[in-house]
Amino acid sequence: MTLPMAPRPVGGWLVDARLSLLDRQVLDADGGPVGVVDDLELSDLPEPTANRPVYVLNLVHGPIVLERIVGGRRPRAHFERVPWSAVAHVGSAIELSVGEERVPVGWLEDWLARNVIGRIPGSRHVPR
Amino acid sequence: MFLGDVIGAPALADGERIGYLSDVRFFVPHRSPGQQVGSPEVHSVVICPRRTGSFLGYERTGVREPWLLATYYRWRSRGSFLVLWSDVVAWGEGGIDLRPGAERWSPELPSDLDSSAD
Amino acid sequence: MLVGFPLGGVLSLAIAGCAALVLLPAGIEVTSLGQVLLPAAEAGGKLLLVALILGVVAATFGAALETTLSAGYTVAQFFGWTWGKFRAPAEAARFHTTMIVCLLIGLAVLATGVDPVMVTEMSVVFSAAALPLTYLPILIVSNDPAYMGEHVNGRALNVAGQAYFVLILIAALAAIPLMIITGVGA
Repeated sequence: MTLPMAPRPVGGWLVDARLSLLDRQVLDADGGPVGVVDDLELSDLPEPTANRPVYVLNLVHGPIVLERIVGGRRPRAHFERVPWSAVAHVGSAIELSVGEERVPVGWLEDWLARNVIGRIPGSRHVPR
Repeated sequence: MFLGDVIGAPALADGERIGYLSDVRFFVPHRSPGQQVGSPEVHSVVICPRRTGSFLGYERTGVREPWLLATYYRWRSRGSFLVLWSDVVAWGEGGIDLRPGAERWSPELPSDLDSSAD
Repeated sequence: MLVGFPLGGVLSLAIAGCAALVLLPAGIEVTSLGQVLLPAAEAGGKLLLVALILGVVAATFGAALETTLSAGYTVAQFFGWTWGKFRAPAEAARFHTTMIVCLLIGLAVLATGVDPVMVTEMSVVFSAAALPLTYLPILIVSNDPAYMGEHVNGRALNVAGQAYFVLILIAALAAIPLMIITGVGA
């Protein structure tokens, strides 16, 4: 029994979250990797939905791997967020219109950059 | 709320569990004021009768190769269907409630839509 | 790539051949990297020995660099960290820390005095066991029109690719049991 195709909306395109958005690499305006999409933050909605639209607010990135392997759920409040308004292109990776300095990094990256790598001479030099 | 809260949650219709939320389909408008890519809006949800859900969405795209894998994963996600957002009554971490008599559509992604945003 | 890989392959065969010709009839078993060079040194004298030593240093140094970079890339990309050779280290701190930790672990393993040849043999077997996991994503992506556009695999390539996948799956499943049964080639 084949099901009929749903009516197609006009003025835009359809994308499935798990296929094309989640787990995708996020690139900054220069094409460098700044993270992956671990989750999407959606606009809140009181129950019942009453057919009101729900939008994607932010791309969410954080320590999700342990959660995927072992199970359980970390509170998303500690995760880093990138607003959807910063997205410039959605293709095989999600490209942002901002540079990497505008993308928030987690505390581990920050701590290591300041206390471990930062203490090594030459760590701020950009190799070309 | 977060997408990860509802992915995999049980889908209920008339209080009876008919499957699990496999994926959420978004509609991305071509134009949106103040943004290069329009804010995606929830369009529909993909429900799979079993918890195994979908792997890489072989049942939704036209990709049939490599044949062994595509056939196996299409079989694993057989019976998946699409429910429009207007037929969703409520959703949250506990599950997603569908309107009684919600229409089931094919989970296939339309192939002739432009699938990139600039 | 077209020059390096064939050249490396030919040279490896040559060294193995030389070693077999000289050492096998005498019943000598090679247990260290230095001993592998003996037949060639015997044939070529001191200058050749110097060249060989330089070659071994280059090869092992290159392998160390490659392994640490590979570990850094794999871990950073899996977790979704910032990474890249062209980033200042302070901008990709977790990536560079991973490489440093990998190097330290390598040095620590050597410091335990374990036989490097044995470690190499075992790690080759384990990488054979992991091969299907790295092969499968490439097979899948090469068929994905979203990534490949019009360059997706043709039918013939897919048939060959899947047949090869089944082959390496069998090899991977057999690798560790075989290693245990044969006592790492004793």
